[in-house]
Amino acid sequence: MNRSQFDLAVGAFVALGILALLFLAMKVGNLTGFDTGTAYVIEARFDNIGGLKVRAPVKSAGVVVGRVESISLDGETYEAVARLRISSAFRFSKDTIAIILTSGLLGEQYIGLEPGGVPEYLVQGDRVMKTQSAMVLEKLISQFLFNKAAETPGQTK
Amino acid sequence: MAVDPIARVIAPRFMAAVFSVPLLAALFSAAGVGGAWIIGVKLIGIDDGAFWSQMQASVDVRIDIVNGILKSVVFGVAVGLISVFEGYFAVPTAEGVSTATTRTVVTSSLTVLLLDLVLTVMMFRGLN
Repeated sequence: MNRSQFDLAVGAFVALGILALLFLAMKVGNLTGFDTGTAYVIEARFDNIGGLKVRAPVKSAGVVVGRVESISLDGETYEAVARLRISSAFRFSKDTIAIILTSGLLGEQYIGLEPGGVPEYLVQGDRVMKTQSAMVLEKLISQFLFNKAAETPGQTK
Repeated sequence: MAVDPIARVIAPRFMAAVFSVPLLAALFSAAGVGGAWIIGVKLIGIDDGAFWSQMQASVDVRIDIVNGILKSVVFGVAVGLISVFEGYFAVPTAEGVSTATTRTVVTSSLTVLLLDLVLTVMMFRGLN
């Protein structure tokens, strides 16, 4: 292999590597999303966030409008504080309701925003006043069992 | 000999390792995704859109891809250093070269294993 062929092979290798990187970034990592755009952060407090994770999607009407930026616990009220990074392209009224939902029966959890009707909009640092916690399967089951146990004595005979 | 072996032989090989290992890592990651696509979409018949949306939902650029490339850079430096070191101090006989090769492979694998552990702990300490 002479020098120019060798250089060509090296160039092809480097080009292929950079192409692979671009492929990973664009197609797999979805860097083209609005993550690079401007956004504002709002705060939502939940009694229980269940299995919600950082970077979980925030959806409104099923469309992703933002991501969960951080999750922490308020040491005084023992509420979970989720900070949501919402794309500036979308505005939500002050009485928006934040609900923790599950995609599918056993899918990942995300935050659903139900817009309200007040003409004032949430801005950077605002707090979502109305929230609904995650449904915890164990609690549902125990509630169901308790109800069953409570109604059985009356139903026998 | 008037040729400086460090500048003429060692440095180019070391630099080649440092640059090519991250490129190879990116190439292999892409090949892995491509292979999964061929098996999933072409052979098993998963919907193409569902495949990519699930892929994008579970892969994070900074956590997964950037950290992977970062690791490969560190591995490239480590393996490159070990290889040129063993090569430079190899006994110049047939036996010496084979011993040096074996030592390089063994030391590199163990170093990569150890560095991988350390890097993983450093990168994922703050998560979850």
